[in-house]
Amino acid sequence: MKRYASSGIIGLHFTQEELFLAHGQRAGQTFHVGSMDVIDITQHMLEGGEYNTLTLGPMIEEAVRSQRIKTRKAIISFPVKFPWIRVIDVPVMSQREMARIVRLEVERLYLDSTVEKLIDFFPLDDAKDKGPGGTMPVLSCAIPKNSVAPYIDLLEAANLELIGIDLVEVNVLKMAALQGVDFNDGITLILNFNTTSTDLMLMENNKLQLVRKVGQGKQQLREILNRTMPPDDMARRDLGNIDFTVPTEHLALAGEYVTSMLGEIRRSIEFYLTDIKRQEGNVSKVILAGSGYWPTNLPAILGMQLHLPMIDLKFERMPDVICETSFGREFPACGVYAPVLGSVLRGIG
Amino acid sequence: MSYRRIEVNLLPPELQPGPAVRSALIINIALILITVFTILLSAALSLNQYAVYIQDIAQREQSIAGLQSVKEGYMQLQRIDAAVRNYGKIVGIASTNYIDLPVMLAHLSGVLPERVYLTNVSNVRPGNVSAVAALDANRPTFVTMTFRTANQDMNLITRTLDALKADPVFGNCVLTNASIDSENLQQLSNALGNEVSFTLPMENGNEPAYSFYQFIVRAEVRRPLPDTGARVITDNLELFQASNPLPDKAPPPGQVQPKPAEGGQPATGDATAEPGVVGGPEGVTGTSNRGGN
Repeated sequence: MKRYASSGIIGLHFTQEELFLAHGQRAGQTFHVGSMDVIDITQHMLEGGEYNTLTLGPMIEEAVRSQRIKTRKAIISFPVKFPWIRVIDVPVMSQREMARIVRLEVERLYLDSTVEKLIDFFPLDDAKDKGPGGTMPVLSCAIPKNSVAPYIDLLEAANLELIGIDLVEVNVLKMAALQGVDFNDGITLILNFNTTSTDLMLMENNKLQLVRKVGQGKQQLREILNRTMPPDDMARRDLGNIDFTVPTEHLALAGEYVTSMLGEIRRSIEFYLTDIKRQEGNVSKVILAGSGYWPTNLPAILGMQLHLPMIDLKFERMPDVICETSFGREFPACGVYAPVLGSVLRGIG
Repeated sequence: MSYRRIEVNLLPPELQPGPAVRSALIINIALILITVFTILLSAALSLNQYAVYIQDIAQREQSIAGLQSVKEGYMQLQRIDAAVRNYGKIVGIASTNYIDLPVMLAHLSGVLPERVYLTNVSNVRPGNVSAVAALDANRPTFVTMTFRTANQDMNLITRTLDALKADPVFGNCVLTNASIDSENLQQLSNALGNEVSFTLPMENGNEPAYSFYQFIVRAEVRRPLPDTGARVITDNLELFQASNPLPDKAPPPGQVQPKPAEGGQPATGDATAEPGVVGGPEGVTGTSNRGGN
């Protein structure tokens, strides 16, 4: 991977409502991350759910300019409806042969075999540590190629150079690993919240076992709260804020969302256990992250029914990463910005 | 299994950046190539220059070899020139038309009989002495000497001729002319000047006069100096040493012992004040008072 440490890297994470921006630069063994910002882009969305390139592009360019960022190189991530994220075991082989194996596997198992896909992979173990005839886990990723086209146009309109496309789920997984989370301690559940969906990732034995997307996201929770909160409640005005906090007396209003989410989690775990022909599994902890991490007291909401340790991502757990943030202590900035931070750290790491 | 280092990039291949250009590596390779090229170029130029130098040296050596005869001729001329310069006096002595007049006069003073006087001496063939001729020791020197007798006595001429013929320095002595002449004594008084005056008695009504013979002898000077004698000019000229060596071992100026001149005339004067002439008569100088050419 080519590094762009000289003038840094811009990380952009697109959702249906916001654009997350960050800029990273490396100085020796230290990574400086700044210019972290979230931009409301709802007014730049067309009726079909597509971006208005003519207005959003210049707006992104202006946002970059206002942050006094010199570089034009950007790595983006965005929600993909049907991503392929799997760890597969392949024999020890060359990179070219490995790429061929991964492509065959993706073409064989991807949901829609008719679409053209963008595929990449990353060996999780060093081949040197494996003996002859051994196998090694390879993280394979794929997305439909046509999902990239709008962002390419958008970056071109913003006068930025697109140098990388990341998967949100992989970025969150990478950030959790950088925080030193132990993936050998039973089943670790990673919840990556998006605007309209949530990614459930099961980690066990230090291996990504399952990735599943459920249709419950920030938008659904906000609609529930908007519907159930008293009309005269002062907190309703702040429902649109990214740092909204549900009043304690209204935590129970999110019960419907939590129930639905727990059902999805339970089904995912059962699917995983059935797949590996196991009767039961012990979920040791839940990691919360994602641009759809909303409201700020989401762990309290989930904790009403999910009695498991819930871990937020924290900047303090990454001593070599210096983040210039001005967020309040209650705002889970590291978790919310995890998708864009993952891109920035990959670019300058 | 490390998830910290995950690097997955789903950028379409057509948008992937080209292979990373390792500028540092390229610069290093370029520097190395430039250095190697410079070294090779310098070596090639040096070799070429070396070949040119070798060729030039060979040409110069060939030219030097070709000029060797000229050089030898030049060196010979230089030796001749040095001989002429360093031994000019001896060369003069050895030359055909040169006589160290004071030396010869001193020698003649011991040879001439009584009552015979030398009035004139000259070279037979005047002219410049060439270097080649100067080195020709076998070529004789001829002098013409004019003598005058004290009175009108023919025997004096005979005795003079006999003395010259008997002298080893002179040879082929020939009396070329003889005449009787007279001189008025009164005129002699006038010649002595106003401070001296005397009156001679008249003879037969005429002024007193005396008659004498004046004769001319032509002789060949076989050697500039006799084998024995007081006058020695220090010289090592090999031309004379080969055939008829000179008495060239003159003592140093501080050790000169004056000897009486041949013919009984005592040597007078300080020989140390006259370098080159030992025991010469008064007024005889070694180098600056030479006759002939």
